[in-house]
Amino acid sequence: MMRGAVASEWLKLRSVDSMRITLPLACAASFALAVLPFASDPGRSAMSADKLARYDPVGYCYSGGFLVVVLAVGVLGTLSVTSEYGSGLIGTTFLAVPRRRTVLAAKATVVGAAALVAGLTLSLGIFLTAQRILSGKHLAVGLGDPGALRAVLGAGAFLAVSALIGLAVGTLLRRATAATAAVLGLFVGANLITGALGDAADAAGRWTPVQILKGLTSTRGASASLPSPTAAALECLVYLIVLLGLATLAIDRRDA
Amino acid sequence: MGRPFVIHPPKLGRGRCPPRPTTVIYPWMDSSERRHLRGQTRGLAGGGSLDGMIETHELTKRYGSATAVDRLSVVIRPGRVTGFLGPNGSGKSTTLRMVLGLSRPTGGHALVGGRPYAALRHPLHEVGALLDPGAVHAGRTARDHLRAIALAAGISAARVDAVLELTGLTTAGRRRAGGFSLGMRQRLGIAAALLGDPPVLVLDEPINGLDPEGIQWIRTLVRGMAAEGRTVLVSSHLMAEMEQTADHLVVIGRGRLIADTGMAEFVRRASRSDVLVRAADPARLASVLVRAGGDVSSEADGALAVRGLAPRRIGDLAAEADVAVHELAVRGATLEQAYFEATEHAVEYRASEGGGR
Repeated sequence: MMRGAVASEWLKLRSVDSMRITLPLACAASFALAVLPFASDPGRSAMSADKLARYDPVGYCYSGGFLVVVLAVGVLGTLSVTSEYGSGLIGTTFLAVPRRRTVLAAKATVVGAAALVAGLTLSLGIFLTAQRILSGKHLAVGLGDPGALRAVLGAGAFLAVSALIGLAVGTLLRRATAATAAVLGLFVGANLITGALGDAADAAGRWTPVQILKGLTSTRGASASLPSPTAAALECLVYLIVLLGLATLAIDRRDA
Repeated sequence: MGRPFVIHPPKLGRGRCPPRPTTVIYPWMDSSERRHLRGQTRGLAGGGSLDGMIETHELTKRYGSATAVDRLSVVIRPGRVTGFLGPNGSGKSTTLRMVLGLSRPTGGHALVGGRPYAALRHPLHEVGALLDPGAVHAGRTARDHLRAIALAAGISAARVDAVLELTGLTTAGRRRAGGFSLGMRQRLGIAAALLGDPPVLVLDEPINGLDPEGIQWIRTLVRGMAAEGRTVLVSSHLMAEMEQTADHLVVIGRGRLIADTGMAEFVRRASRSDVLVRAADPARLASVLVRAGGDVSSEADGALAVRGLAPRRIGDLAAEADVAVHELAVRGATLEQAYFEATEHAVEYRASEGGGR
């Protein structure tokens, strides 16, 4: 049952434009926006010692343009289920696979795996291209340098986390508009709020997805509002367990 | 609740299946015993497809204080087309969704082939359903839509092409379903229902949006499916079409069972047949007929609709009264009239009962 459900969800994902066009477009946009700023960074010789100490040739790969693809994948994650609720197709899906947890697990497998592959490809591509640009400025690091591989893997995996959060939120809210708003609120709005609140919200700030991504990819140490890589990974797990757990309960209990 | 439920032998009436004794399955029997007894009721050689019966037992669905389906107990049997009728909002779709495991009953239960839908091992091979022709992703091709369903159910791509051909969608299969007309979406929905070649078919309003050819195609299809010994449950608002397609009727109103009877009997019981009379002096004739014990009402064009008097007696009375008769026609009851009578009655019944609950 599970194998068939996964095959079915994979076909569904690749047979619509959101996967064939939107995801590659978002990846391309993200890549360009992530890499271009490095070209305008000053060289090592033009930097003060203080600035050089703060300059993060790894973390900066995933701090700007990468968020575009994080958001896009989060929204695509919601769409993979809200589009079915919107059209009523979810009923057809449940007729073929009455065990709804199997449906959710299959969707999570497919959406998560697709986002992971896209994420790892993109994060490695950004890293390698950025370091190529930075090598001319004597700022480049290699994959073997401390934290570099962890950041590349973390950023790629974070895309899967984003997709799965989207899937869970979409399953919980069922409406495309509500789920999209919730995902944008979590990924953008939450950070704006904790940022505006300043130091008082540091504890909460560590739990916003933007800070989690930063924690996963930064090689310049943790701060009050920045989780360590391990803490960030654990926070991802908590998000997934809580949201996918709620989604599992909801999908079983509610009428389709 | 020690009430046994009864599995009747299939009544095919087409000589495909020898008569068998009624089998009774008691709640205290264990599953292997039940299976054994059910096996005896299977009629088709090799197919075993006759175990596909739909049963609802005290099936109830409430949304807050509103009761959509109210203790509905029916058995939909194989080998015939069962029409499922009821006014809008009477609970037809809710009932079908509970049968198919999409909505959770507030009370009671529904079984397909003796089991709840969720417990079916290969659901699409046991039940095919068309619920909502709009339930497609607009950006996906019809063939991919069917292939996704087929993959989930372990059905081959060859079967997908077969149902596309069966429903006349072979060339349209490469196009996006978003551009389909309602009629084509209905065909696509029926193609999906047929994917698993199921012994039970549940079609909710399958002929909406179909052209006359499509309607005839559906009629032939469902009648053929029933003739093969399958269970076919079709809901529709279109009475004239239902009259031609269904053998048996289940009628509900406000979520309650109004009738569970053969088509002919349902129409006959409505006893709406009357005699249409056109006469030179309808007012005079009407008073004569009423005095003779007739029940007379005026039609819009001045004709009289007479009940309770035979045509011959009406003619004699008119001759005695010296009124020229221009037309005298016996009108048989239609399903539509019978349906209105039955559902109207239910509404009155509900209204007078409502205060006491």
